[in-house]
Amino acid sequence: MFKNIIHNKMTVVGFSIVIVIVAIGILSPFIITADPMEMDLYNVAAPASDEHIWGTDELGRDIFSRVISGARTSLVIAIVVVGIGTVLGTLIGAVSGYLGGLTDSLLMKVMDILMAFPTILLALFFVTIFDPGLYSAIIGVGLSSVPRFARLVRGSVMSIKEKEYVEAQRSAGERKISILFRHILPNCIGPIIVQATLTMGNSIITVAGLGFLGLGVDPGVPEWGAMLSDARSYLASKPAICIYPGAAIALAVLGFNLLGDGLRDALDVRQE
Amino acid sequence: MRYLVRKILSLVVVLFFASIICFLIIHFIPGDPAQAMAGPGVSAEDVEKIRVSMGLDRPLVEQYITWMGDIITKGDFGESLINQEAIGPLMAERFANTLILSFCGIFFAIIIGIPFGIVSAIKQNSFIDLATMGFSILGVSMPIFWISLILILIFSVNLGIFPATGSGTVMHLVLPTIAIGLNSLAVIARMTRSSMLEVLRQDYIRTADAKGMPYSTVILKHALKNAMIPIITTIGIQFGYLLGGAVLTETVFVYPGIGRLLVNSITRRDYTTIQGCMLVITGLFVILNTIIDLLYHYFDPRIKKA
Repeated sequence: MFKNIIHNKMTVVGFSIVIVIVAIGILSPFIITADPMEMDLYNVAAPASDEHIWGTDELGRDIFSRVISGARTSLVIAIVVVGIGTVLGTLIGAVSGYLGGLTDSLLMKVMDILMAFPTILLALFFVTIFDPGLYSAIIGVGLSSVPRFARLVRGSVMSIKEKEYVEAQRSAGERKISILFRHILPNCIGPIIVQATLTMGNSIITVAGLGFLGLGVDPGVPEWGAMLSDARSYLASKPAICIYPGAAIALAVLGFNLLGDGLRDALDVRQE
Repeated sequence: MRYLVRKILSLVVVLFFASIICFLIIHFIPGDPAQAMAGPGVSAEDVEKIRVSMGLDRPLVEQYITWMGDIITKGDFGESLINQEAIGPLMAERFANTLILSFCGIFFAIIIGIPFGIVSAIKQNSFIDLATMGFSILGVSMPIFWISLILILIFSVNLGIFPATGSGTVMHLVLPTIAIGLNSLAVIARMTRSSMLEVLRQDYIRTADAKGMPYSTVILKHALKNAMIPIITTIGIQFGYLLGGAVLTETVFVYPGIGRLLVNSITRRDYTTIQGCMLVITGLFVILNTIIDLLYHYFDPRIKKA
């Protein structure tokens, strides 16, 4: 397996990007050169200088420090989103696939209804109900990732539960729940990891989109999408404010997408 | 045929529940729906007036039937909470604009994406192939709103060729079309390439080629025709994504579509308009997905979908 992963150059590139972004996310307080929240109204939209290597934004905040801190914001949000999707989706998919019958039909219908809403629309739905903010964004994007996990796990569980070794456990009198968690689910881990990696990339883009619409994180918090939105009016006079946060989003998403694609090939996972 | 009936039944069920969810938005908001609709700082008397005029004092089921009934029979989505304008006609106009933009976007993605995908497949590992693949990987990673800003920066601010915002002329459509279509272009090019590679390996292609047929005929008539199934499905799925992307693109370019109407309504807490926009976008999205499933089934009956 690891031979396969190393074999593919693009996967290595993706993996390296992810490592760098995660490292930046963890170490951001040590990398930044200024307080990302601190405004300096005498030094608004300043060009790059020794003090501010990428210049300052429309409120005089250091762009470099804000982009670096943004990595942590985006990663934390994406991890929570993927957590919601993985846990809920795996549970629903496992129960659905293992029990079958009416439970399966009902749960899958609920998933169909959830999938009726495009991701950003579901997020906007929660923004409408609970007011714009971090939690609405996380719940919306997280819930919209659940059906994909559920369908994936359901499919794997359905094929694995017919295998002989599961049959053996069943005839040995092991309890259903223990068969499911100890013998079936561990064998579905490959597809789940691939889906989780790809969902990381998608969540980063969607959450940044909400931030861009002004419906994401609270004002002032260094978040890439919101930074791009604030920078819009300075597009002509100071394009740098728009370039860096966008490039950061693209790089992070690229990393997770390449890694996800590579893992899919390495783990030999089929996708719908 | 049985598949068709089952799919349409399923469509109706999903649409029904989705419409209930859209309807319930007002009731999901923590607190009193009439108060939420009235907004802050309104007297208790006025809140009561709104409760009665909006029918919020009646049972939920009755409210839903009235709301949905008016929409189905009269195309009446109610009135905006902000300016008491009828939502239906406004939404129809905005929705038409969004459809124009989406069609332009998907058309742009198809006419560029498919040829590049074909050339990549024929000349595998050539410069064009590597460039197309590199672009298709980058293309899906770039957020649509960032692409939009960069397009404005290059073509409006620096070169001054296209207007940055607004609508009304063909020139206004160019940048939003590229912005909204670029992600799909990347996906379609990649899908075309891998589907063509798969087909080109088949024996009948070698036979056709060996018969001395012109290579262009082999590629376009024999190979592409058989490679189209997954490409058409991809196009359908991408068209669905465009509807979500429209929310962002329309906001950047200040384009009067339904996505921008929705975002503006959310910031203004215009709940009746939000309900209408959500219902229309979701409805189209669900219908579209059903059509894709049916097409897929039609083109390749071997696929048995659970």
